[in-house]
Amino acid sequence: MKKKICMLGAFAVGKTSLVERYVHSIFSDKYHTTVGVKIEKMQTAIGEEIVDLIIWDLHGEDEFQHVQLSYLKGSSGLIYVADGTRKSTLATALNLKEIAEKTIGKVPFILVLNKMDLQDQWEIDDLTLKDIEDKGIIVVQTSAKTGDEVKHTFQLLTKKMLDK
Amino acid sequence: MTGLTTKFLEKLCFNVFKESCLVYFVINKLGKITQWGGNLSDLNISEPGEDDPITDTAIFMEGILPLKGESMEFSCIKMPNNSCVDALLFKIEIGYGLIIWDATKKDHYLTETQQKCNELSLLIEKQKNRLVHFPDKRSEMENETILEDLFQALNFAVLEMDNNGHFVLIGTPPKWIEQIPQSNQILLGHSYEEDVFTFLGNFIQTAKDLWSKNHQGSYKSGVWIEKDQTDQEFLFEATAVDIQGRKLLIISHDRCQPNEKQSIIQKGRDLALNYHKLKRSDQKLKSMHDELELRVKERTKDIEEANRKLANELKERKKVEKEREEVSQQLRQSQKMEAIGTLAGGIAHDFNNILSAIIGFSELSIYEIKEDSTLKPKLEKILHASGRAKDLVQQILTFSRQTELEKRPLKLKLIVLEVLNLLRASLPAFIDIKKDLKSNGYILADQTQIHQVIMNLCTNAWHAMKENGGTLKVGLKEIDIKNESISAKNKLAIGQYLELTIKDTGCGMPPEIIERIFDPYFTTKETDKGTGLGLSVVHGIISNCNGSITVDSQIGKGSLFKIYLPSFITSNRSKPNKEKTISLGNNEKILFVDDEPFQTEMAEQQLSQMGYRVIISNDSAHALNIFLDNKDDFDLIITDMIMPKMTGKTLSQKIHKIKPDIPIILCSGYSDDIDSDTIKKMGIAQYLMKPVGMNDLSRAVKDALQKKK
Repeated sequence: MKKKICMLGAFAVGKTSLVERYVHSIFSDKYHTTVGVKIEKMQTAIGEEIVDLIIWDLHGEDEFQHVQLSYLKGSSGLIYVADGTRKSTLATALNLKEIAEKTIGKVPFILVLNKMDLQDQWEIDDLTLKDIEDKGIIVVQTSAKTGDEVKHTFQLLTKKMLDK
Repeated sequence: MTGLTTKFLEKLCFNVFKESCLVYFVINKLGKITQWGGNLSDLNISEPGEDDPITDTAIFMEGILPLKGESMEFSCIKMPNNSCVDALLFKIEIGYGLIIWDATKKDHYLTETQQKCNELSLLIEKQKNRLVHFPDKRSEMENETILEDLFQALNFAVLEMDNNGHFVLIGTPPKWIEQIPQSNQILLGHSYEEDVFTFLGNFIQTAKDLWSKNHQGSYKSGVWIEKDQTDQEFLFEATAVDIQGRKLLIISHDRCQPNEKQSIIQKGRDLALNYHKLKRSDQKLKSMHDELELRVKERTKDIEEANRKLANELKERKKVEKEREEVSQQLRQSQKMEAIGTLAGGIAHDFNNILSAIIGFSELSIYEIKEDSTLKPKLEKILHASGRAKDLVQQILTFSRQTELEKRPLKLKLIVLEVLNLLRASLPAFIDIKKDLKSNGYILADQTQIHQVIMNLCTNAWHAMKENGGTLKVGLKEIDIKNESISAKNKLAIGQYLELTIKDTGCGMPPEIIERIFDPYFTTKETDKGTGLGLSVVHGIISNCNGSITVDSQIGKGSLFKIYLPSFITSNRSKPNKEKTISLGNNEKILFVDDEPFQTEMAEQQLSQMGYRVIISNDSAHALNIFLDNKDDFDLIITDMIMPKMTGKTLSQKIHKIKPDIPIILCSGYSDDIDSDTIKKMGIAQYLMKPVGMNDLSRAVKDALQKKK
C-alpha cells in the first residue's frame, strides 16, 4: 500500500531534516533551502500492514515562494511543521492548514513543533499549545537533531491514514 | 501519415529526446505505461516493464491521476535517486502524456541574456553612427529616443512619476509586461497606481520619500520573485533614479533560473534567519542587560552597605586614634610633669642644702652677736628671705606633685592666697585680681589637689580674659546649707560648707559648651594648648572631697565657678604655730654625719651652742667606724640621707644592728628620699626636712633624746 504524505511549513522549520532523520537517520545543522520538491520513499509497518510512504518535502512557505497547491493532490496525510524557537512559524503552519483543507479537503494531519532540543530558545508557551490542542489538533514536539519523536510522528500519521 | 513517415518521426523523436535528456511516457487512463521513449539512464530512471504503473517509475505521480485540468507542470522535483527533474503531464486521447527532463540543464535560459547583450551592442553601434553623421542635431527628442531605445534594448520597463504622483510607462513596453497582472492597463497607457507592481509597494513609497528630500543617485529594491499569468516565476529588480528632474522607476526582469533562484531564496532566508537570530540576540542581550543592571544594583547595594560600614569603621577608628592621641598627649604631659617633678626634686634637694647653710649660719650669727648689733636686723632679713625661699621650694614641689596625697585639715584661705601669690607673678598687668576671703575655716583635703583645683580654675579665668583683659575675683565664705532643694540641686548633704567662688569677666561660654566642660578630654583650646582633662580632674577632686562645683556663664560677660567643700570642724586641728624657743642639751654626745662640709661645720656650731658634744664626719663609712670604736659613748646619731659610699638609711640600719636603742635623726633635702612607713619600720626617731632651723633642730634633738630615756 502506498500513501503520499506532504510536509508543509514555513522555511527553515526542519521539514527536510525531519524527513532525512526518518528516512536516512541523518541530520545536518547546515540549512539548505529546498527549491521545488524533494520526494523520499520509506517503508513502514502498522501491525501487519506494510505501507510505502511517499514523502513530499515541499519547499518552505515564505514571501519568496508559495507552496504549489497542486502538489498536494493525492496526499493521504499532511505534516505541518513549525519551529518552536520561532513563534511566527506556528501561524504559518496553521495558515497552510486552512489553505490545504480548502484545496484537497480534510485529510489526517499532525502538527509538529520541531527543534525541541533548543528549549532554552523556545518561544511557544504552554498556553498557546493548550489552545491549539483544545481545537483537536494533535501536536507532537520533535527534534530532528536528536531524533526524538520523529519516527513516532510518521508512525502516528500512518496509523491515522490507515484508520481513516 | 504513412508508416514510413511515422517510423521516420519516431526515429527523429527518439534522437531528439536522447540528445535533449528528455524522456516521455504514454500512460493509459488506469495510470499504466503503454509507451516510453528517451534516454532514461541519463535521468537515473530505470526502464519500466510493460503495463507497469507510472508511479513505480515516476514516484511523484503518486496520487496525481486522474488529472483534473488539461495539464500540470512539475518543477525541480528531486527524485529518491537524486535526479532533479522538471515534468509536464498532459491529457491525450488514450490517457496521459508525461515528459520528464533534466532540470539542472536549462541552458536555454541563457539565451535571453545573450540576446540582450547583442541588442545593446547594436544600439551602441547605431548611436555612434548618428553622432558621426549628425553631430549638430543632438536634441532632447533624440536623447529621449536613445534613452527609450536603451531601455528597450535592455528589456527594461521604465515608469515615470507624473505631477499627481502616479507612474506612467514611457517608451516601448518590453514584451514581458504582457505576462504580468494588470498588463492591459499598463499597455493602454493609463497612469498607474502603485499597486500595479504590487511587489514594489514599499519600494515606491521609499523612492518617493527620497525624491521629496532631493536625494541624488539611485536606489535599488533588491531582487524579487514574482509569478506571471502562467505561474512562471520571474526575477524583478527596480531602480529608482532622478535623471534631470525626471523621477524614474527602472524595472529589470529576467526569467528565473533554478540555481539563481536557489541562491536568491537561500540568501533571503539566511537573511530572515539572521534577522530572527539578531532579534533574539537583542532580546537576550536586553534581558542580560536588565539582569546585569539588577546585579549591578544588588552589587552596588552591597558596596554601598560596605562603604557605609567602612565609613563608620573609619569614623570609629579616627575616634579611637583621637582618643589614643589624647591619651598619648596626656602621657607625654604626665611624663613631662614627672620630669619636671624629678628636676624640681633634685633642685629642691640641693637648694634645701644651700638654704640649710644660709639659715643655719644666719641663726648662729644672730646668737653670737649682741642684741643691739646693727647686723641683727640684716641677719633676720636673710633668715626671712631664706624662709620665703624655703616656702617657694615647697610650692614647686607641691606644684610638680612630688608630695604625697594625704587628706588632712587645711586652712583653705592659705592655699588660695598661696595660689594667688603664684599667679600674680605670672599674670599680665591687665588682669586685675580681687580677693574677698572671709573665711578662716578648714576643710579635709589633700593640699596638693586643692592647690591644683584653684590653680586650674584661676588659669582658665585668665585664659578667658586673655584677649581683652578683665578682673579675676576670688571669694571665700562659710555657708550653711539647710534647704533641701539647694542641697539636692548641688548634690550636697545638708551641713556647713566653705564656698569658694572664682569669677572672671571674660568671653563666657555658650550653654552647649557648659554642658560638656566637665567631660574628660573636652576642650575648646587649640591643639597642644590643653588636654581637656583640667576641669574633669577638678570635678573629680571636689567630688572626692564630698563637695560640689557649679558653673554659670554668659557670653561676653564672663563665668562664675562655685565650689562647695564641707567644713572641717574638730578640736584636733593641727596648730601651725610652734614654739620658737631653743631647747638646750645636757652635754650629750652626738655623731653628726653629712657629706657636705658646710653642713657638718654649721651643725657642730649649732649643737655646741645648744650644749651638746658633737663629733662630725663627712664620710658615712668613716662615721660608722667612729661609732664602732665608741659605740657606748654616743647618745644620738644625726645623719644626712643622701651621701656617697653609704646612704643615711644604710648607715642607720648598720648602727641599729650594733646598738638598737640609740636614737637616730635622718635629714633630707628631698621628701621623696624615704617614705614615712620606712622611717617607722627602721625605728628612726625623727625625720627632718632641710633646711632645718635651730629651733626645729633643738626640738628634734630634745625629743629624740627624751624617747631614748
